Amino acid sequence: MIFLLLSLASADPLITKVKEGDRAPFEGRLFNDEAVATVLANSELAVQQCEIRKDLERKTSLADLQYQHDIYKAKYESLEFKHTELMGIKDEEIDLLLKHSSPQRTMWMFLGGFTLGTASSLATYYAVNQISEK
Amino acid sequence: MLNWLKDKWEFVAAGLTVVFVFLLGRRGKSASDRKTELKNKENEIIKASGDKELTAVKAAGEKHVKELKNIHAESEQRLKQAESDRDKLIEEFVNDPDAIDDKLEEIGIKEI
Repeated sequence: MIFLLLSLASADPLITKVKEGDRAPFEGRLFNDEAVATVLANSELAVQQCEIRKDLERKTSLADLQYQHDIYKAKYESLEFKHTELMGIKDEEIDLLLKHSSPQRTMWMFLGGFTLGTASSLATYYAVNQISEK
Repeated sequence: MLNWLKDKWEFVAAGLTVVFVFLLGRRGKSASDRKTELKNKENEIIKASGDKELTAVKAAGEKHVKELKNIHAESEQRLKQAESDRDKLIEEFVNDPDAIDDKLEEIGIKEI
């Protein structure tokens, strides 16, 4: 019987209840109830601690990702605002430049210049004639 | 009047040229003023966009720090609660030895 118990002890975790003065049925450590309770409760605590740590890591990662997302969102919104506003200004600038260099205006400038040149040539001719007559 | 114009036509021509050049210059100046105005507006927009981004990044940073603090505080509280639960469990086990047996059986330790 003892041999059987010893062979079992080497294979599986075992426990037996003993009273003070009883012979131990196998080799090992004798825990009182408080010690066993502590071991069991600590193993429960270890599981809970592991769970808490896992949650902490997960939530921290999520918070980090959210932070990165917020940063990118801020940058995106700022760039979008800048882009929209600058495009408006560029459009105005283009309109202004087009207004000052439109083909119609160039044509008027040409005609004006031609007229002015012709007029000044005639005036010079008239003036020279006047001088020679005097 | 016509005679006077004929007589002083040089001054009239010079006067008209001055007026014409003045008008051209004035128009050019108004275009330049408008361009300057647009450039200033552009600078203001770039600055406003930078300020907007800075404010948002700052707010995101503050939110992140607050959230991390909350997460850590919650974990600390849960850890304390777990330790308190452990102490209660020890007390329960000590007061109820059958519960110890049940637990040992649950984790696969055979009783002989």
